[in-house]
Amino acid sequence: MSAKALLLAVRGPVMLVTLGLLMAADQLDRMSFSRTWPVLLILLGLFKLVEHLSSHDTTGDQTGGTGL
Amino acid sequence: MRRASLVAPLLLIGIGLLFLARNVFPELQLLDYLAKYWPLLLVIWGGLRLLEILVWAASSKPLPARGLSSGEWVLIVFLCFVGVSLHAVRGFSGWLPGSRIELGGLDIFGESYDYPVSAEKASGKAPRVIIETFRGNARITAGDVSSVKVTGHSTIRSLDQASADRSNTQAPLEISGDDNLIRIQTWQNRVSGNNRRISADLDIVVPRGASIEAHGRSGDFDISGVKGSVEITSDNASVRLEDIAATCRWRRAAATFCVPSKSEARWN
Repeated sequence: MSAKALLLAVRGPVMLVTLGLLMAADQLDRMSFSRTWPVLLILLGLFKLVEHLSSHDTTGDQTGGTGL
Repeated sequence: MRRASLVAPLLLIGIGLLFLARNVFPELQLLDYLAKYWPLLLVIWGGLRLLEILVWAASSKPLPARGLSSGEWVLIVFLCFVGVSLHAVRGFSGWLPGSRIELGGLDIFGESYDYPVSAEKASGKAPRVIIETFRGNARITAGDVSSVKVTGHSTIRSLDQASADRSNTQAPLEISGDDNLIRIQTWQNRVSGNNRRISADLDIVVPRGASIEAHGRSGDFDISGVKGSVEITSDNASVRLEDIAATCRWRRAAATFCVPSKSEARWN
């Protein structure tokens, strides 16, 4: 089992938990979701970055495409 | 063989328990709880899934290619829509522009609650009576009295009785001032938005020599027998004056109207 497989597996649940927390913060009038939604983008970007770095380390070759 | 997730059965059990609780305890405000705390469902769902994957990883079992399937994401989006809509409809403040449907919601779902109001204050023979931030109908009559007396009722349109009671205590009718200056305050401006609307129907008896000054948003003013000046500033009011001895001014938007003395005038 590689670290990349684990990363791919936990990505969805972590995004879901974050979405839930942002929604909860909004509904309890702490912080509006219209202000905090970019956190989801940043998190997704971080996952993609770590994924890219780990695949670079293990295979040593560059893959094409946008990375998304 | 692909491992089945525990989350789906747990969610089913959870939903079943919620419906069972609703059936066993009909007084339970389940929708209110759901409208307020639905994001926790997402957190619990994600947390359980995460825990499951970490346990699989720790026991070196094969991991799924994706933590959440496409079908689950569709369900999550659906849940978000339902949660946000429920939150907006149940009257909690929401972030959707559409949740600002307070007036429409009130017209459809709200009810009117009436509260009697009365107040009196002694004054001189010719006081200046100021009515502040008033919305509703006022009948102002001059009499041979030496006090300003207000009777009538306050109408609060609200989604429930408790909210209307709260509005009523927030907006008490008050008369203050001295012999020469009487101020009638309804404090209706304290009750704006938040699914509540307030107006008042007042009968005001003033001394014959009184002069009237009223500031309001809308409603009718019916003034008769007053010897002093009358000045009404209103966004949208209908004014009826009868047997007015002095000049009057009625300001609506940029226009100013004056009425000759001893006349009866009606504008709409």
